[in-house]
Amino acid sequence: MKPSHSQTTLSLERAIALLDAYGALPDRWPEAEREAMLALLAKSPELRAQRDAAASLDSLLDLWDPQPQAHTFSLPASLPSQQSPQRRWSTTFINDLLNPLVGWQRLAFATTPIMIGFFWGLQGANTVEDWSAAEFSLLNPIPEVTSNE
Amino acid sequence: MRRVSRGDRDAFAAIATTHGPAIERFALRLLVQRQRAEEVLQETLMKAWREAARYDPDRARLSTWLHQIAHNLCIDILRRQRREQPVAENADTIIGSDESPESLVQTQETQRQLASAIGALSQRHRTALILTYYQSLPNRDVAQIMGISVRALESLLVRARRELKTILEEST
Repeated sequence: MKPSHSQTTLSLERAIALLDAYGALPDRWPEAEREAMLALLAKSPELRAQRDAAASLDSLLDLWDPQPQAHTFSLPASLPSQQSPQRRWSTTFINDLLNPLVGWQRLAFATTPIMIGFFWGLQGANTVEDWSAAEFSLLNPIPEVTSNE
Repeated sequence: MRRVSRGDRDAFAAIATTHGPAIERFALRLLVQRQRAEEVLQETLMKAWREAARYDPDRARLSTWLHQIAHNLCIDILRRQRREQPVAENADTIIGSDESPESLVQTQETQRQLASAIGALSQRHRTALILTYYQSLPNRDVAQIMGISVRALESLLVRARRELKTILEEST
């Protein structure tokens, strides 16, 4: 079990960073650090000064409270159709393979390129002789046949 | 959400009623345009309905999931708007008018300044600030919505608040 922040000490730097980020209201501080923060505030006049500075900005921010319209949201008569739950592609793939109706087709489709590659490799298509012949033909191209009319 | 995924309209209506205002407020703050925010709310809820079966409570809280959908929609709109009109110019479109005439002028002016200042922040700074400060979402949830680490989020928040403070000091 992880120790809670309240059991550990909070550095002054971290406490100031919390005030700078979240403001002066304890409810907005991260819950795990709230108790330690309050304990440090009780001990540190410097931190209290920082909190007061943060509180002055908070009081300005609190003045902006745009209210949504009273009508907000009305349920439409006909709602759109709902989507089915999203499945992971791996789960979908394995389930399809296990499906007796389509599983063998998908398995055959997936393994055919592997089998072709395997047999191709077994045949040893290109030998040293083949390469020599290919190089010879490149160095000695067959002369073009021109018609003499 | 399980009931919603089975097509339960009442369960969906309950979710819309519970989470709709927060989602609209988020979009309103991020886009600074009431009409666009309403569109984002509608589309967020429609997407939640369509994809209810895909929601995984082990991965995210419902509120976080809905905010994530709304966030993505807002980002799309902001990208389109970037070519057309800066967000700060729309600030006066979301000022409310439910107050007494005496305080209305002062409140409107303050709110306009704030909306302009927040609208002047970069989109990532604005999103981090709105989700964390105004929507009061836990930092891990905000990091998840934005696709960044908690440390990166804190860095964005520090810079956003500093920049905002500078803008507001310069404007007063």
